Formats: sequence, structure tokens, C-alpha cells
Amino acid sequence: MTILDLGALEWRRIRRDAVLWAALLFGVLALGFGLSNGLAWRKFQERAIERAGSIGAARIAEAKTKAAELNANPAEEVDFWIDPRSGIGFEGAYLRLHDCLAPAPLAALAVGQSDLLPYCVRVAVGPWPAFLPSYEWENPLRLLLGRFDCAYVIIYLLPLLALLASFNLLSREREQGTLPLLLSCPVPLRLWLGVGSLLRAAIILGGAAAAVVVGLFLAGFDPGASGAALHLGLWLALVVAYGGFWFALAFLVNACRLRSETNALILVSAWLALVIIVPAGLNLALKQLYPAPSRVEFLDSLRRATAESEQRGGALLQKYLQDHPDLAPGDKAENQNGFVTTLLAVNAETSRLLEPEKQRFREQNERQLAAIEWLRFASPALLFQHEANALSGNDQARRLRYLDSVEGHRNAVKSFLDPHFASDEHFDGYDDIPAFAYQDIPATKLARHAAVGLLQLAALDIALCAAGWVLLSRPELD
Amino acid sequence: MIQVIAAKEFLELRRDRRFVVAALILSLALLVGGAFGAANFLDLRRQAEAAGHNERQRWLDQGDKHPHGAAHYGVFAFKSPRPLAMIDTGLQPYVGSLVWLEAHKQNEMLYRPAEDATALQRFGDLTPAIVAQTLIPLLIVFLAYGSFSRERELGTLAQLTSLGVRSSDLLLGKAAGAAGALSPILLPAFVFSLAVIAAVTPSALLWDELARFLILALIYSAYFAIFIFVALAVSAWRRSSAAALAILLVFWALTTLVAPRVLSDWARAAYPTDPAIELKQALESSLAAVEARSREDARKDLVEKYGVAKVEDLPFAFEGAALQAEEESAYGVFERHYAEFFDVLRWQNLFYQFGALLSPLTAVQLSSMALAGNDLEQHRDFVLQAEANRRVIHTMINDYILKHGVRDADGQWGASAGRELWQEIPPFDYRPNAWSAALAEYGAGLGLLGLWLLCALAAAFRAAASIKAV
Repeated sequence: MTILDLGALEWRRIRRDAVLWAALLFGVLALGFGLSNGLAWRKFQERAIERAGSIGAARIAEAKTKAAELNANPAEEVDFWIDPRSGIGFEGAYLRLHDCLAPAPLAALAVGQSDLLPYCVRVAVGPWPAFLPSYEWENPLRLLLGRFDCAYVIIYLLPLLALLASFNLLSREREQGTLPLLLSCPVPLRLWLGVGSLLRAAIILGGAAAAVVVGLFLAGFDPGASGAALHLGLWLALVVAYGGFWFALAFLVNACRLRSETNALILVSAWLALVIIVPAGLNLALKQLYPAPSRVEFLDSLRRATAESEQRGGALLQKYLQDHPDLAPGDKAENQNGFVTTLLAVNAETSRLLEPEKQRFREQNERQLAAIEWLRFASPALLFQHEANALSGNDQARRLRYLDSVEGHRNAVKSFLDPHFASDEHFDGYDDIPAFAYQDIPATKLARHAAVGLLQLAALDIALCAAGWVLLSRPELD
Repeated sequence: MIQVIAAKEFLELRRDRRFVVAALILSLALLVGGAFGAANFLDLRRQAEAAGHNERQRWLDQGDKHPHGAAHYGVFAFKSPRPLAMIDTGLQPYVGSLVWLEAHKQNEMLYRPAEDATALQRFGDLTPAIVAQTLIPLLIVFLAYGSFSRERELGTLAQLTSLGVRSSDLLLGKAAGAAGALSPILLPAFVFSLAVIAAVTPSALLWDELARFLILALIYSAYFAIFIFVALAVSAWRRSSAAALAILLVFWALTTLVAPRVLSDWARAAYPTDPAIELKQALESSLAAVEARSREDARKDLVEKYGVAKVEDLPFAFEGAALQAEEESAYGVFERHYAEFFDVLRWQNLFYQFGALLSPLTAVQLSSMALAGNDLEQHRDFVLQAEANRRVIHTMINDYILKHGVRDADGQWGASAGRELWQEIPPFDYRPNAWSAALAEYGAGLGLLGLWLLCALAAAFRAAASIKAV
């Protein structure tokens, strides 16, 4: 019997395999639902980013209008902290710019950390951190549960569907008494099992990949965007390699010639270990090895630093109020300048005192990320999640690069505005505020990183298949 | 007869090395999760207590200054975790545990610990609650899928029925056997947790915490019972063990992996929220409108009431009255905007709660985090109590400005306060809800959990009654 004949025979059997088609249908529906969720989240972010842009522009336009009004009517009195012609007034009352991170072309496939970490941060020039929570207002229950996106379907459900479709390929034939008939065709056992597994894998994984591609293109995916086609190709290759791992594992377990029930128990236990227990255990271990510094203790330090620097602010800060120096007695212009100078000095001192704390957070973050680079190899699920999030632009590393850019922009805006804070001259540089620009890492660099994960998964697949192939070289005795 | 069957089932399971290994792994997971949970709880409680103490000290030591300067400096309120957070951290990593009580603004909580975690966090924490919600049901499936079907395959079911054993006795005996097999995992965990909770809970909260723990144990027992009876029903219904196992694994995956996320996404689609940036902008616009008006209204009222030409002629510092008027005008705005947002979240959570129609896990998750003091309602309760404290602080400060303001030689009003005022201002003291109030929101979910149990029992009795021995 040639391989083609064998394929045709298996195809006839597969056509009547209700479990396989049910698994495929469920997988495609789940991916469709996951993609619609991802697209909805992406659209939500785009709406927020657009709104942030319009708010920032509208407030600057308001500042210009108000400044023109005030210039035209010098008799009108306005408190300096809401005067758009003073640096501090403009920053406090009108500067509502946001630095936003646009979703990457594949963002809808894996929500990753994007629902938890900020994607639009308001530009503020106070000491780090200003108490302006910049995260999305989301139901914390949803953050706890996570999103049902394509990555979730692939990581958790695709393996179960693969196992359901292939856990008893050999054992079922034996238990039904049809194996001798099948082998009498004649066909080598391992070739028959290999072709059967491969066909089932092609149907489930091909269906999954097709569902993702069709869904993305229906939603307006632009393959011409920078790196989009390359990243999509890698994403799909990862899906095939990750799903292939579970088919290969089922092939190996089938090759051990156990009962269907035992196969199922072994495979589900492997799934449980690799998808649930190992990642959760590593998460726990990582938290112990590189615990994030306590935010409560950080706040304690921040308050201590603020209190210390304020006390060092000296007589001016004692004399003038922090936010409402107009309440203080004496000459207003003198108070304003004194207040502003002191505020700048206090902020600079607070920032200096907090620098070691900031470094501590950053260094621990980097240690965690470096550890994950190694830990991802401990489980195919971790590997897939890591690479899928990165290719979708919703990983932690991209968020950190974005937050670095935000800080760079904050410093640029601060350098731009600081001279205007204590200046007697009117501020009118509304159009000269430094713009925010986030530069992603090159698409090829990201692709190279993902290719390493892909190779690792492919190597695992090959090793499992080879082990199964060797085990199946023994003749079938019963 | 039930006892005999239960003893036989238990003995068989005990001899099954696969079960012993699985039981050891789960016990280890419970132990490790519980130990880290306890360490984390003690650490968080210590941090909250120390930071709260330091914050109060800084407040008292801030020296003499204009009271409004102190109002802007504000204070931080810290939420100390409940001891049951050792078992279920619930929403705590996603809401944070501190809130800034400053002048003019009702703030949301800051610093969500999950933001400092890695993407590994999304695989879930290995807390005892997660183990109980997802892994123990899977162990139950492994324990019970072959209870009837394997007996049928081995031919021993015919022997049993030929002895005249009643199907209900057989079912209850097998259920008791499965429950007995779980007891070496769950009983030590229960006793150990009870002892730790009793040891670390402050005496004022002890009875409430113990009541919460016992109710939690009851809820999880009902949840495990559902899986036991569903597994026995399927095992009695299907002729082959492999088919029973496949069906039960699909049931487990649908109820624990698929349903929670799908229901949460449906809830979001049914009750959407707007982007935070729009919510904040709307809040800022509303505040700007009322605050500007409130100052002007206060000026008019006082000038008219005291029959003076301008506020500088009032016999007290107008700024105190104006600041208080601004504060009070903002109360309603904050309440309205936050209430609108949180009402949507409540509807989402209610939707999720009714998702217990599809999966009993949703009811268990919500009531478990509520009993551990880490659900949305208790988060809101903390924020609202903190807000009440903020209002007391700023009312006292503004009242002080109004009553103790002094006029200088130029006729300008000024004020200075010191330790005497800072001491008078009460520290924030969070009063958590009793267990009954914590569970009040989850009656529907718990009712549905009860319904699941009844249906599982009915299905199991029906399947056992119609079982065929061959």
C-alpha cells in the first residue's frame, strides 16, 4: 500500500470521525470569538488614543484662545496657576497631552499585558511618579480572569482538542478488534499511525491557522504594514509548532500501546503539568527569586522623601503655600516667583531622593525579564505565550520600552517648560512642545527572537515523533 | 451497605499509584500555595501597618503651616488584607491597597501589584483557591470516571447488582468513597488553615473570620460534590471508561477554562464601559463647572448674609468657606461619575454571577473572593470609607481656616495650624463588613450553586437507577 493509498484510506475514516470534526468546529468558533474579543479591545484602545489626541489638541487651542483674550484685555486679572501665559499655569491647567502606544498590527491576536499596563500616559512634569494613574479603568474581575483571545484558545484549548482528536488512535483500533484487519492491508503500524496523526494534525492546525488568517483579513489586516506579514507568518508557524507538539506527544503516547483510558490520563496529566502547574509554579518561584519591590514601602519612601525635601525647601516654602500661594500675605509677584522656584527645587530634590528607588524597580523588572527569557523553555505553553505576546506587540518588554520613551518625552517637555516656570516673560510656545515618538525595535529583530522559540518547539516536535517512531518499530504482538 | 461500598472504593483508590501521585502533587500545591499565601499576607499586613503608622507620624510632624497646604499634602489610607487572603487573593492584585486622601479630589486606589508582575501571572497564581477551583475538580474526574463503567467492563457490576444492592446505595457508597479519597488532601488543609487563621486574626475580627472560613469550606464542599455526582452520573451513563473520561474532561474544560473568560467577555459586551480617558475628561469638565460656580455662590451668599460689600470685609477668612463650598460641590460630581462607572461593573459582575447557570465555578469564585475580603464590593467599601474620612479631614481643615484665620496689617487673611489641629484630625480606621454583608451580593450565584448540586444529585440517581450491568 502506497502512502497515497494510506492517506486516502485514512481520509475515508477521518470523514466519519465525528469527534475530530466537532473539535475542529469548536476550535474555529473559539478562535473566531477570541479574535472578535481581541479586535474589540484593539478598537477600544484606538478610540481612547484618538480621544487622547483630540483632548490634548483642544486644550492647547483653549490655551491659545485664553492667552489671546488676556493679552487683548490687560485689565483682566487671572491667577497665575491657571494663566496659560505662565509656564506653570499652562502646565497645570492646559497641558493635557498623552503619550500613547498604538496597537501593533497583530495586537488583536494576543491581548497579553496590554489590558493591565498603561498604553496612554498623561504628560506631567512633576517628580516621578506623579499620582496620575494612567492605566485603563477596567473591571478588576476581568483583569483577574483574563481575556478569551486567540492566544488563550491556542495555549489552553488547542492542546485539549489535539489530544481529544488523537489520544486513542491506536488503542481504539485494538480495543475494537480492528487493528489486525488494518495491519493486514498490509501497512507498517508506524506508517499508518504517522499518516493518521499527520492528517488529523493538518486538519485541526490548518483549520486553526486558516480561521486566524481569514478572521484577520476580514477585519482589515494590512499585510503591508511594517513587519506585519513576517510577524503573522511567524505567529502561524508558532501555532502549528505548538499544536504539533501536542499531536507529537499523543503520537508518542499512542506508540506506548497502552489502553485508551491510560493514554487519556497520561496526556491530560502532561497538559496539566505543562500548561497549568509548571507556569504557575514558575510564576511563584519568580516572585520569590526576583520579587517586585513593595509599592507600599515605595510609597512610604516617597512620602518621606517629599517631606524631607519640602523641609529643605526652607523659608520660602514655609512662607508660601504649595498650591495656593495667593492665600499667603505679601507681594503676589514675589510670592509667585518664590513659590515656583521652591517648587522646582523641591521636585528636583524629591526626584534625586527617589532615584535609587526608581533604579530598584527598573533593575528588578529587567532581572524578571531576563529570567523569563530562560524560563520560557521550561514549557511549550510559556514559549508560545512569550513569543505570541511579543509578535502581537503586547508583551512586557515593549511596554517597558514604551514607558522609557514616555520618560524621555517627559524629560524633554520638562526641559522645555522649566525655564518658563520662573520666567517673567509670557509663555507662548504652544506649538513648540516636544512631540512624543515611540520607536519600535526592528521587525526583523523581533522575528529573529521568535524564530528561536519556533526552532525550539520544532525540535521538541521532531524529538517526540522520533521517539514514537522508534517505539513503533516493535512488531504489534496482540 | 453504603459504608462497605465506600470502604471498598477508598481501598481501591488508595492502592492506585496514579491516584497517590496525583494526591501528593495536589497536597504539595496546596501546601506551597498556602505557605506562600501566608507569607504574602503577613508581609502585606506588616507593610500596611508600618506605612499607616509612618504616614500618621508624618502627618503629625509636618510642623506649622497653612492648613490648606496640609490638605494638599494629604494622607494615604492603606488597606490591610484579611487573613483569608492567604487562601484567595481575589481582586487584590488588580485593585491595589492604598488610596490618597488629598484636597479637592476623590482618588481611586493606586499601585496595582499585578502591574509589577510578569506575563507569567496570567497563567494564574498557585493559590489554594485556584487549586480548589480548577485542579481538585480534575482530580475528582480522574477518581470517579470509571466508578461504574470500569465495574461494567470488568464484569463486577453484574455481580454487584445480582447481590441485590440498591442503586442508590451503590451511588452513595461510590460518592462516599470518592469523598473519602479526597479527605487525606482536604482535611489536613482545612485543619491547618483553621489553625493559622485563628492564630493570625486579630481578636476583634476572629469570629467573623472563622465564620467566613467555615462558609468558604461549605461552598467548596458543595462545589466538589457537584463534580463527584456529575462524574458518577456520566460513569453510570456511558458504557466505556474512555468515553466517560473524555466527556468529563470536556465538561471540566468547559466549566473551568472556557466559561469564566467567555462569560466575562459577554458581560463586557453587554455592559460596556468607556475608555478611562473619556471618563476622566467628563469628570474634570463636571468638576470645573461646579467648582467655579460654588465659589461664586458662596461669595454671594456670605456677602448678602453678613451685609458687607466684599468678602474681604467678612468677619472671618472667606477662603475657608470658599474651599469648603468647593469641596461640597465636588462631592456630588465624584459620587455621580464613580457611581455610573461602578454600576456598570456591578452589572458585569451580576451577569457573571448568573453565568453560574453555565458553570458553577463563577459562583464559587465570586463568593470565595467575597469571603476573603477581596471582591469588588469590599474594594468599593474601602474606597468609600476612605472618602468619608477625607471629607472629615477637609471639613475640619476648612473650618479651622474659617475660624482661626487672622488678618495682617494689609488686611489680608492668613492662617497657620500646627500639631494641635493635626492631632484632632482622626486617623483612618477601616471597618470591614461582616460576613453576611460580604455575601449579600452573591445570593443568586449561591442559589445557582445549590441548583447545580441538586441537578447533579438527580442526574446521578437517575443514571444509577437506569444502569445496565452488561
